[in-house]
Formats: sequence, structure tokens, C-alpha cells
Amino acid sequence: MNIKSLIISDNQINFLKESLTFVNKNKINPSLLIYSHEKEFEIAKEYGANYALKIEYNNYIDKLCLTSGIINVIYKKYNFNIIILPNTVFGYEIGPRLAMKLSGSYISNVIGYEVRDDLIIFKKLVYSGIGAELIKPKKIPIIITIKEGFEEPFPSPNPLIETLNIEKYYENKYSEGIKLVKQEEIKIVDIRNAEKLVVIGRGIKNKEDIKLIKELASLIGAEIGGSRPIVTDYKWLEDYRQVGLSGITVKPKLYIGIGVSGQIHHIMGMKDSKIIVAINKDPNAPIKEHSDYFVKADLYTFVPKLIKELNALYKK
Amino acid sequence: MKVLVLTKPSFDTTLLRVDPKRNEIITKGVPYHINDHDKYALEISSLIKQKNPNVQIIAIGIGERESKDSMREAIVRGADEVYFIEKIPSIKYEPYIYANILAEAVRQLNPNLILCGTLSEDYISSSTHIFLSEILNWPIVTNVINIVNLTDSYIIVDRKRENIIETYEIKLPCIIGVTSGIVTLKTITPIQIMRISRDKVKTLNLVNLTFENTIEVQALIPIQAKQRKRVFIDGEKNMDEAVKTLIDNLIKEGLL
Repeated sequence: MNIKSLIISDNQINFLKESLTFVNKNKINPSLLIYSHEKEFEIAKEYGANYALKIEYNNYIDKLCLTSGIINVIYKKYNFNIIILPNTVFGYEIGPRLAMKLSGSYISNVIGYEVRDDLIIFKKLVYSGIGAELIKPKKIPIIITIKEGFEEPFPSPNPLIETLNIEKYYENKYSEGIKLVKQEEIKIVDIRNAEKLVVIGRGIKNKEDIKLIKELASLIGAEIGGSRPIVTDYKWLEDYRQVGLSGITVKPKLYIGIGVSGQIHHIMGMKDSKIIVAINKDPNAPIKEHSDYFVKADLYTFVPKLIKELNALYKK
Repeated sequence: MKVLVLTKPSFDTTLLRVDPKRNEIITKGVPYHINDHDKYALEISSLIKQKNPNVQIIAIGIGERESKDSMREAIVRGADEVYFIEKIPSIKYEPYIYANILAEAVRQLNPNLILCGTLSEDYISSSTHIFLSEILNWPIVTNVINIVNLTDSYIIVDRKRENIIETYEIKLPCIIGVTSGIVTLKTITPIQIMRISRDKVKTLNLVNLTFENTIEVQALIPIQAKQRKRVFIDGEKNMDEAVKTLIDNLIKEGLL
């Protein structure tokens, strides 16, 4: 059996579609998927994985030890050229470890690639997203973490996907010195899938003023998000609402930025939105360059009028 | 107890611009500062020190010669000592190489705990500290949102990963990557930094270190922004008209 690529999905469906499209398009197959959820297996069939290996674990450390242990064993057998991981905490944590262990090249935050003379050159995001480095890996295996948007997903069904069974191997060193004391699941709102998003920035003067923005959001059926200062510095919104490089990436049909200046860190998290509206009293705010509609106005005057007009519109 | 804070000097990426004629990123003249995410690690270490007066905070950074002065900010944010390792211009510093150099510094400085931010704003990497843990064979927990307790032998932290909060007890020595937001950053003025004597940043000389690159950077290119409609609506001139214009356009776009 000859396996060329290994994909570890970490329950990231879009990642799985994009990475499988990439390996099939560039003939870096047969591919093997390591997965844990049935939904991932279904996507793997639809997007043409050749082999699948299911792993089950009790907690995060267990998952890290198990995945690493299994890869150690199967790499010796199959010698993959490439290991593809998502830009998740798990991807970021296991990628460098695998690179060290397997003496490979590690490239994180890959946003695209070019094929030149049968070589794949990876495009890696740098400088808060204003640029990209074109990188040629010098060692095999190549271990990459990819950012959503890396590849346009294209189904390539393979109902004959073969399931592998491999004995459990643990890389126990990742549990040495670390004891999980407790684990708690919390409720979060996933704004990544919101069709409309109203995002607030530093133009909002007080936490109490957010209720005005919430009123607007509720009227148009939008979720609320925030820029980094609002979330990390002022803590006026929950961290899962932070849009940007160190928060989450969104691409709603409608993004409305209110009092958002548009620093590059923030733009990186919303630049793929379909329509971008910015309401800002500073006509030189960087977000203007990235907007479809830029409204130069004081939000405290404009937003109440907008709410009033929308209410009138919806009553008709 | 020695707490080593990984403090990367970086371009202030908010000031980087693209030269549209040459299609190049302009880095010349862009000032250096401490990587935004590492500032949180510095300030949380300062809070740790308030509770544990025997803690000594040492900041360390690797950077271009011109970035050395920016490390003075670490003192303002609470470091007792600051070390700087100057980059050799002929070497391409990838995270794996940074980690190997830092590992050598760790062997010299002998800390009990290493703190760092979880991301570098210039290279957008979350990997140097992971490589470092692998080289040193120290346990690591990243994405830490709260430090619950620190003793001479262990640290207890809360870490957030998507919708799960995990509490870990980790044996020292270990590495902890903290998230932005673990503390509220102090506002620091350039004057406060300039008041710190340059001599406070000591150069750490590590000799005879050679490492092989695992990647080759072929080019740095700007990322093209998506073309937008760029409709300007002047709400200051006529607010009612501006509201109407925006609503009409959003209706046409099929969004209302």
C-alpha cells in the first residue's frame, strides 16, 4: 500500500473538504484520513479520501498522545510526503511536534499554493495578513496547517474508501507532567456561520451602548461580533465573538462594522464577507478601503435613525 | 523562582503598507515593538510577581540589531532583566531555529517557568514555543486564559479550546502560552519606554550555534485586497438621506 498524504481533520468540515480537494487535484494520493466523528467519514467519502482511520479518546491530552503515537508507527510504514492539519489549537500543537519527530518541514497558516516544475510552493500568511511568503519545503514530510480558503472545495466521491484498523499507540511523553484536573463544556455562539454580522469597534464609548447595536442586529437578524479591543481589552463581549487574526474568521453575506477602524488584524478576519458596510466618523479609517458602502457619520446619531427607518420598513 | 518570558521584537504590523507601484511591502522605517501577544505574557508574569515576591522576571527576545531598543518596553511592563539575542543577517530565522536558539538560552538562564503569547504577529506562527517544548522535553499548555496557582513545583492553569475549558496542573519546569486578554494591558507611552536606559537590555551571546533550515523562503508578496464597490455615503451632510441611501442599497443587494 502506498499512501502519500495524511489528513487529520479535528472535526473541521470545511478544512476536510479543502484538504481532500487539494490532494486529489495535485495527485498527492492515495490519502489517509485520521478522524473521530462519523460526519467526517461521510465527507471523506464525498471528497475522495482513499483510507480512513478512526481514533477514539477521552480528553485532549489523550488525543494528542494517541494521534502522535499512531503517526509515529504508520509513518514508518507508509512514508507520507505531506501531513495536512487545520489551523486549530490541536493543529498548531501537533504540527511542530511531528515536524521534529519525523525530521520534516513545518509551515503554518498556509493560504494557498503554486505548482512550479512539479514542485508545490506554499503561500504562508505573514505580517498580520498584509503579505505572504512563498515557501519551498526542504524536507519530507511536509507538515502544513491550512487556513480556510486555501482551496476551492470540489467533491470527488470515493464510496470504496477503505477503513484501516491499527492498534492503539500512545506517545506518553505528552502526558508526562500534565494532569487534567477538570474539564467543562461551555455554551458559545458560533458566529462563523452567521449570514449577517454587526461588529463593534472602539468607536463605541461605553459598554451600555452595545444595547443600541444589539437592537439593530436583532432587527436585521444579525449576530454580534467585536474587534480585538472590545473583546480582549475592554471585555465587553465574549471571546468567541472576536473577529480578526487572533479571533475568528467570518465571511457573512452582510458585515456591518460600527466604529471599527479596520486595523489589518481585524480585516484579516472579515475581508471575505460578501458585502461590507462601515459606519465611521473618520473618513480616513483603514476600513474604508475594504468597504462596499462607507458611511461617514457619528454612530450615535446614525444608528438610531437607521433603526427607526428599518422599523418603519418592516412594518409596511 | 525564575520566570522567562519569550518577548519577540516585531515590526509594528499595523504600520506596514504596500507600495502599489512596485507591488512590495514597505518595511523600511517601520518601527519595532514587542509582539502584541507577548505583552500579555509579560504583564501576567508581573501579576504573578505581585503575589510571589521571590519571582524574578526575565524577558528574552531574538531580533534584528535595530529592534534591540524596543525590548525596553519589557522593563516597563514588569521585567526585572531583559536579554536580547541579535540575529545574524545571513540566516533565515524560521520557528524551528528560533526555538533551538531559545533552548540554548534556557540552558544558560535556567528558568523554572517559561511564559509566552500564543501567536507572533509578524510571522503569524504559533509554533516556536511548541518546538521549544519538544527540544527541552518540557510539558507545555497553550491558550491559557487564567493562572490559578503557582508553587515551587507546579502551576495550575485554565485553558480554553473552542467550547471547552480545561484546568491543568503542570509540573515545573514547563512552558505556558497565554491568550491575549488574560489581563488588561497597561497603557504605555513611548516616553515611558524612552526613559529606560539602553544598557538595561543586555546582549546574550550564544556562540557556535548552527542549524539547518527546513524551508526556503522564495519571495515575500503583498496580498491583494478584494475589489470593493467603495460607495461613499456622507452622513454628516444629510443624515436622513444617508440612512435612506444605505437601506436602498442593502435592499438592492437582497440583504434586507
